[in-house]
Amino acid sequence: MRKWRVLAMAASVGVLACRGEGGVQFPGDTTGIIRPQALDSLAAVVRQLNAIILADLRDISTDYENCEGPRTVLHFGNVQSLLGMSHTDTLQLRVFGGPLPQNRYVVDSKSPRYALGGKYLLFLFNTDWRFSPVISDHAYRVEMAAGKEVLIAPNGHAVTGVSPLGVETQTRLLFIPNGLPGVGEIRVSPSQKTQFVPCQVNPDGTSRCPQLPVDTQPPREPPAPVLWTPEPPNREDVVRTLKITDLVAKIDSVAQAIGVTPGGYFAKRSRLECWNVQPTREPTQ
Amino acid sequence: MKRVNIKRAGSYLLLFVATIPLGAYSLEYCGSTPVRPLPHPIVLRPNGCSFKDFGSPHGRSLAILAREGTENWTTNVLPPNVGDPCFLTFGNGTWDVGLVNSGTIDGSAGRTLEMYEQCPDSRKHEADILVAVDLDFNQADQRRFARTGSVGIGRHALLHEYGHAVGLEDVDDDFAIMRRSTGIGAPMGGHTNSGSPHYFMADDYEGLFRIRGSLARNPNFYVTSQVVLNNGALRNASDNPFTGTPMPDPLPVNTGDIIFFNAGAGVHDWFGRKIELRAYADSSTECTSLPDVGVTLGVATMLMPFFATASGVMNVKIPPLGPSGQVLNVHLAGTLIPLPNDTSSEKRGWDDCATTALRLKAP
Repeated sequence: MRKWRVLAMAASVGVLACRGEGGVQFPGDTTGIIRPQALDSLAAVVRQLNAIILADLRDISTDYENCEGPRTVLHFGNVQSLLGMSHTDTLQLRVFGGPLPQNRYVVDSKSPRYALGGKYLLFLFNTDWRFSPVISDHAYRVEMAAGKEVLIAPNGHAVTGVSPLGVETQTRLLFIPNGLPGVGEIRVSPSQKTQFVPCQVNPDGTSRCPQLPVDTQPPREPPAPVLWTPEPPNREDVVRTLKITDLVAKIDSVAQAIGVTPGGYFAKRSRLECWNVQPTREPTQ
Repeated sequence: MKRVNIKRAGSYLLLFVATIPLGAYSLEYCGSTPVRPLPHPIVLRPNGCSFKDFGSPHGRSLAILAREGTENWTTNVLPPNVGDPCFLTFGNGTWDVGLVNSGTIDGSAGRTLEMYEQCPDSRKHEADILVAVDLDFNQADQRRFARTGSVGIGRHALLHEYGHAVGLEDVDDDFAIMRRSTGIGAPMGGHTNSGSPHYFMADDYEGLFRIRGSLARNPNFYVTSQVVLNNGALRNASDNPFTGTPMPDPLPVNTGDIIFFNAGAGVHDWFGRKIELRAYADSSTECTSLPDVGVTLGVATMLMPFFATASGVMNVKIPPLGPSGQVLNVHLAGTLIPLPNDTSSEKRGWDDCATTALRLKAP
């Protein structure tokens, strides 16, 4: 009977241990860590800017490591640095969120979602980061709208300018964003794998990527058709929108105005605290 | 087997079952379910390192969250335990709320980590709410728009993140607590009749309704305002949309000048309303929907369907503003106008008013 008791106790302790995994510190090399600062203005964004890159999102996969946690891996190709540090032709960005080994799924409320096959203008951090190497929601998908190149923010609106507060997107909703308020209408794909379709290669060597109709962090399907969808963009909608070169030039101007040169450090992976431990603070005021 | 051994085995079995991770028995499969099921009730556990009590500005922010939770969802906010360590664990099945350095959440004002039983939109297993500790957690400045660094932005961020926890997503073109918190889309401090600007608004309520399927009691009408210089461009504050720089404060105007004034109103419930919005200038910073207060700048009437927010540009011709150099605050007062078939008795009770960030300097 003693043997059974020991076995049962061991099983219980084992289960408890599984529920309480994780530690405060990142186990890898954490020398020279640079923590991000509050993104409370456009100047704060520019000060923490490693590069603005233009790249094609060729594939999306997922990964999990104990400390780094669930990650959605964005595989970019044809990478061009338009401002700041030069990057290689291909780049993988590991964004927080995705499936866990025990079949659960983790989502971060602030990270933008991405459309497989899209061309993106991305602002990258020159600091370490925990959730995404892309600064806040500065991930703009390049689209043609009413015959004009526009930059679609994760909210489905187009970029119209910059202000001391940030990048402005003062158009009506031009594309369906990453989910609608209320979320009850979002349907989930019965098969997650169907959304992880890698790009194919055309006979002439160019890539052929599936076009998803919505910004998405897989696996999602477009909202049900009973819901409101935006009217197709017209010329009036895009009168004030910025093109890629316009936005990059404006950011460059801001950098010069505040005496900052984008570039420097780039962290390919998170080196801060493990995903499941959130250091909290006592307020000082 | 002896009776005592059966009893002992039963105890071990119970102990084992009790330690199985929560939710393992309640999987909901992805597929055709068009809602995000939530635990009932939601139990939020404030991290005792961040929140000492419910009396401080930070604690009061939690109380607001509890109030909104109670109104819209069964949400219990536990008393903080000051013995808590200065970290919280994501993935343990407990819904935590904590204050963090903004560097911990990649520089953002707030962030919610959500865990689902299976894929996104299946049953929510856990949500941890993280808000930057250096935000201002006092009550917002009267009825002005909240923007980064302004008074009350911490309370706003906390409620915004709670919205994420219960399943709402960011929006950008509606007046809502869930308005995106970065850049020009800073969450706005609209106002309801209660005197507190920290409320879910019409668009939030509609989202909650879609998730929950029913609504508890809530205020049904609010007014808010924004300022624009060119027709159609929405501005949260007194920035010049052409240059991105702040406009003069107060703004010198001449009699007969035309200014554009973006006004908005929202209806929180199922009943459509006709709303009269009166923009007026007054030396007082207090806003009122009583008639004949201040100098009327313009009046607009709009018909609102249920759960609607609407905004429109009021084209205002500056009337004589009184003594030269006098500084006047611009307010937007809303009055519900009963529809012919409206027999409810609440009409005047919810009239509302909003103070804008705009101040005019008389010529």
